[in-house]
Amino acid sequence: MHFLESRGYPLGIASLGLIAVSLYLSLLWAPPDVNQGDVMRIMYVHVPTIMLAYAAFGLVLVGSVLYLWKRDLRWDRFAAANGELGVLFTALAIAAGSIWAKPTWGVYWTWDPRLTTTAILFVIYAGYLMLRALQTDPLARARQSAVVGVIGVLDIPIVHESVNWWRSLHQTSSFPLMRDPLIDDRMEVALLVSMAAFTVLYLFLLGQRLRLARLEQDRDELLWQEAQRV
Amino acid sequence: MSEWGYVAFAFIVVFGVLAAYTVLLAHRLRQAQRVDEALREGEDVACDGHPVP
Repeated sequence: MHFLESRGYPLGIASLGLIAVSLYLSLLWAPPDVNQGDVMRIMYVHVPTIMLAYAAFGLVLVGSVLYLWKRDLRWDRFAAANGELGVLFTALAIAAGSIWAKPTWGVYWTWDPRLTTTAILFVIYAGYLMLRALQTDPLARARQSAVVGVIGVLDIPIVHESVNWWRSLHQTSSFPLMRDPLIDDRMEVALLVSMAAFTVLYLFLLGQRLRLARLEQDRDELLWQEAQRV
Repeated sequence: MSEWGYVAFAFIVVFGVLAAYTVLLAHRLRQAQRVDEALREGEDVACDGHPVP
């Protein structure tokens, strides 16, 4: 955690550089899709944002389990920081996907299994953040949100497999982990660079968010000590 | 809207929101640092955080 907090400057610069390269590859270098045309380029922001949202909620699970086990508030801060970023990246993935859907499906939104389960994922973790905002006792907040953080992650495999389990408008994965990608080599390179750019940006934002959470916890402790002195 | 119009719309939304979040996070960090410094120096500070239990 300290590593990310103290590497803000290099991570910020690296993410800006990678985003510039990624924009060039995504918008100019990679070819348009034979069926979808240029609209397919939205994939270069949609796929990395949803993959990072999955990763963020996985890290919420890690932080939540470690908090429940060790009762160390550092893990609660780690889960909270990833929860906030996960909600942000889920919202961005939904927004980019909706913009892609309009010219492709004719509507911005439809109650397709993939879209519906992703919307549920967003609501679960928005609820996680609301619970954290409403609970004023830090220990109760950490315990209760850790339970939500463990349960909420169960929706991720449902979201991911929804296109295989149910009849869905949403295409299946174009970038399966265990097989060769189903896309052109240049599209694959552009997508990988875009994923790298978003990942470095995520690490930069996570470091800053962790720093903020530590400062807020220090403030609460100082105010608590002050209140006890009075 | 043309195909490129949708592409521009999506990229502007994604990178615009990320830029806005980064600026907001930097603002929250600056505010938290000021409160932290003031508390350590024993000054009175107006604090908009959660009430301490």
